[in-house]
Amino acid sequence: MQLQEVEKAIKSTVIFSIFSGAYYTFKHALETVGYIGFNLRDVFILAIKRKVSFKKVIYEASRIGVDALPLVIMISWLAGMIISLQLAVAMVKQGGGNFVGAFVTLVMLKELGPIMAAFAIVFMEGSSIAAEIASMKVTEQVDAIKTLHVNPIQYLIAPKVLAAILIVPMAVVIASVSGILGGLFTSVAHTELTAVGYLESVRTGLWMKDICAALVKGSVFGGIIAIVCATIGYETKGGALEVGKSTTKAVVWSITIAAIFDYIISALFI
Amino acid sequence: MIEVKNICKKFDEKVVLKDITFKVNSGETLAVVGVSGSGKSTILKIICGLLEPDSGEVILGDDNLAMLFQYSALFDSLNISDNISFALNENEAFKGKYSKAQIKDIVKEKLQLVGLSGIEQNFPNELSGGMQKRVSFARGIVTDPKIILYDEPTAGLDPISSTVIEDYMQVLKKELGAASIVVTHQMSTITRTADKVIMLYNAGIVWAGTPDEMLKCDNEYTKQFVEAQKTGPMRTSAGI
Repeated sequence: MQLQEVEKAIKSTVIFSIFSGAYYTFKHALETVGYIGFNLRDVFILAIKRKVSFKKVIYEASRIGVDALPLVIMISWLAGMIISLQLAVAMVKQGGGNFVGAFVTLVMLKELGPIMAAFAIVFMEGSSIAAEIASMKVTEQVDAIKTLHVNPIQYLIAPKVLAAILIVPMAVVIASVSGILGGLFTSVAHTELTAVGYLESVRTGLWMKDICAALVKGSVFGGIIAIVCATIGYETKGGALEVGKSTTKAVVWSITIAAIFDYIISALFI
Repeated sequence: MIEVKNICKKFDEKVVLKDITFKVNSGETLAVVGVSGSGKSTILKIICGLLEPDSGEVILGDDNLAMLFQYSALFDSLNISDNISFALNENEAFKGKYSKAQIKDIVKEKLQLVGLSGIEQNFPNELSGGMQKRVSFARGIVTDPKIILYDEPTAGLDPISSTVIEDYMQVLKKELGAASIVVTHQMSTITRTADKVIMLYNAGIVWAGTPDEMLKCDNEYTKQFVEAQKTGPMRTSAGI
């Protein structure tokens, strides 16, 4: 058998296909992480040098905040209601009704508030950022920005990242408050707990450390969502099909990286 | 002035440009022609800095350069006024140089030059393809560039719109005295706008001369191109 035929036979095996597929996926993932890192570095350098338009940051912040707000409130309210439904009935039966508000507050502030806000921002804004930049890339608009001697990172990406870092903590606060109020609604509706008793319990569950952790998570999640979605959009090559693929990839990557950082921040604030 | 010296470029293993050399003086227009996939647009992207050559160098007489894209590449989230004034508002070299009123006047003037007054508040998707091309001209020349690169400026346009665009190219050449390179497949664009022509095939320059010489000469490449024959030495990248 000729050497070329042996090579061809090896390449046609299933195992080779699996390994080569895994290799290219891993290589591609590493490249994406590299692009995200470089773009994040550039954003911070531009921010430190005050090269990012404050007006654009405020515009992007208002866009991100306003667009995602209804979803943030709705899903957090529902999450608060569901947790409270599970907890309140059981705890009241066991005589622990006084702790229902504190538990819901703890869960919403430390975990579900930031996560629900991040989900809402990814679905509403992250996907939109990725699709917007990807379609600009495939229609040569990004090339046009470069030929007009404007830095696309400075014009397109930095304002979005800085805006998300600023606005997502506020979304986290709103999500947490919404969840706690959702919990209040269920607790009062399904048990003999009173609104005053629930709110008193909420007060005992509020700790400054937890509020700080929630705000830090909000900023980190916001930054991750914006830089990941913008970078994946920016690296898009091809046409309409690739724009769709990039949008999906941006959402998946944002949620995965945010989950990793969620664990790290939770561990730091424990 | 644009001087391209011994440019080479490969994509993966495919050689797209090999040892390309030419010079375009101020006030001159060079037409780059050839079959699809012969590396014409790659030359423009290398000159304007969107691509790095593997070897060779590009010498530009002026940094103030405009690239006019095949599909206009207007910013669809901005209105026409903001599209045209983009470089004046965002380019560090021009930022703060003009007041809002001056920018408004410049936009008006450039729109008049391309025959599209009164569309400042429209968005790109409200304009026809020909109008979008003219707006992209206005956006490109807002900084009075000394080098203009046109990537298939008349592709996809009807003959009348093509003539209008060719007229604007001539006006710009006169008004700005810029060195221009136009990548095109259309004979009318070559004969009406170019002073010199180079023909690319197989990663190299296979013929160079003037538009008149191109029409008259017996070179087998130019003959096949001018007469649009399927038979001849050239094949497209699709193998036809």
